[in-house]
Amino acid sequence: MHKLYSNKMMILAFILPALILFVLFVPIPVAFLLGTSFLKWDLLSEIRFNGLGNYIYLFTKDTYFWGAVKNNLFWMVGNIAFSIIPAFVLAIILNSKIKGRNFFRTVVFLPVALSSTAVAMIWYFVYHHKIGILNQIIRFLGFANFEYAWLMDERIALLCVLIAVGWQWTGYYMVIFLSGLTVIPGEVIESAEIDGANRWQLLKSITIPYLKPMFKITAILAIVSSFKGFDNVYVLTGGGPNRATYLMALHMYDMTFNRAMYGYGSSIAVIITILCVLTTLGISKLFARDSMEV
Amino acid sequence: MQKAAGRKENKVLDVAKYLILGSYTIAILFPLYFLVVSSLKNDNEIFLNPFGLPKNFLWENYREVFINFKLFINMLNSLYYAFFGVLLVVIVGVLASYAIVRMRWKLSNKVFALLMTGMLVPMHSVILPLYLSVRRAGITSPRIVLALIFAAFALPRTIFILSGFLKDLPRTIEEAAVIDGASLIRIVVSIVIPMLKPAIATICIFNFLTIWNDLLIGLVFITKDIDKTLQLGILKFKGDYVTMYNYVITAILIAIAPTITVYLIFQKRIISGITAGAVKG
Repeated sequence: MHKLYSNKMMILAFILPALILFVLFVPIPVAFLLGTSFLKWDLLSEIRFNGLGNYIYLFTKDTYFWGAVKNNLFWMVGNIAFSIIPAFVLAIILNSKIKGRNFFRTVVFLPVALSSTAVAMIWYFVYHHKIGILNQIIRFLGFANFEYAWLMDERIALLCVLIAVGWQWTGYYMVIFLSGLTVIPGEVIESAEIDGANRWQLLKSITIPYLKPMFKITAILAIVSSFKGFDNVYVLTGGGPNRATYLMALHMYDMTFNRAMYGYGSSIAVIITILCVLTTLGISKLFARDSMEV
Repeated sequence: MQKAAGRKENKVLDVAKYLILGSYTIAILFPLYFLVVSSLKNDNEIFLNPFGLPKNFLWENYREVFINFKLFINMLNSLYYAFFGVLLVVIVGVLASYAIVRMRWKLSNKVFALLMTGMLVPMHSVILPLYLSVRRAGITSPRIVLALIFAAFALPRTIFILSGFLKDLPRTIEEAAVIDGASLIRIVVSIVIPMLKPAIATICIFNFLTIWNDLLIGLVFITKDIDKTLQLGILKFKGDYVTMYNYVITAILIAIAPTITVYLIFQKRIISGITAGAVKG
């Protein structure tokens, strides 16, 4: 190895720009956030130390927060129903030899390239009470004056948002499943077929075990994206009606930037961060232990 | 006998497959079709003739939205943030990946691990601290800061992809160049970067789309209309001109046309960006 590769000055010159950029914009702000989460800091009073006060209020008194937690949990289930399961089915179909495979793959993935803002606005025009596609189709089918404001109905608003989210992200999950399907060796499937395994047995005892890493990743993404969930709801419903689609990240945003309660908003951001990190580490560990047994 | 039954079963399965694919395709493409035809109608016609082609093609909608409502400024802004964010992250990322993979120093693994923690942390956790710093510093038009934030958040995945790619490349050419007396910068520019081209293309496109599609960062940091991103621009349409549906729809189309184009051209690169980042989880 040439000494050029262990020259301290050169190493610093190469690594420092990245390190400075990263540390300045990620670890330092995160540490600062943790600090402010222990402060009472709003526009009304002086900044003062509040101990665990923000967290205690958040967990014991803040009904908006708990409403959001409930919606976040529903969101995870919705991600499984409207993103992961369709993605898995589509990946299985599009991994088989089928005409138009590339066309269908391109179409399913297409919404992933769109911004969440645009997707939410597209779905605004799906659900719109007057000119919305959904109502227009229903009218077209013969219910002449049908007009329903889907997003204004507390009972189904969250479901409506989740369908839009599924529309956007199914292609993303599908691509991940497809990348797993392509690494299953052909001989494994062939020898199972020679042994007389039917389709269902193949799926259960070869495909699904091989896709384990993909299930891990999609599970992490589905849960973490729920904790981070903001854009779709902010644009489509603003968290309404009557907070039926309100999420933790929206609560964080509202407290921090609409009400300027910096201390309190920080404590919500800390909780979101912890949940994201724990989810990723926890699920990775869970799957790592599982695969030892196989 | 058995074979015939198998063939019949196959046929049923094929029909089921195409039914699923067909209905899913319609679900994806029909809303986009609705946007395209509606963008060329007036409000009244959107209501009376929702799914048919426009009777008169109202191309004025596009001029109105793009020029009079100044959506082109928002587009230029998004281009600015995405361009400089990507440029920065590529330069910094290539250098750092080279140091981590090829150079010999004790903390190499630890620095790599530190940078990778960035993949775990959601943007939500840095918005407020950075917002307060930007405000305290008196920056009212945070163009450069935004490019820096986007670059910083793109950095972990970028280094992950680049260093993974670099590890698999043979180092014989670089070693020969060192013996010939080339400097490290020279080696990076004329040997390493050309070899990394596919990986660099992937991160460029992937990060470009991420920055272009951002909403939250723009929402928090940008206050002046003149600095607003395309996403903020179309959002404004929904708020301000909520009854002029044709303009809102045209604005959405203008916003998604560039990303759809990028996607159709570089589909493979985008997908490899997703799977490369995802494999690590």
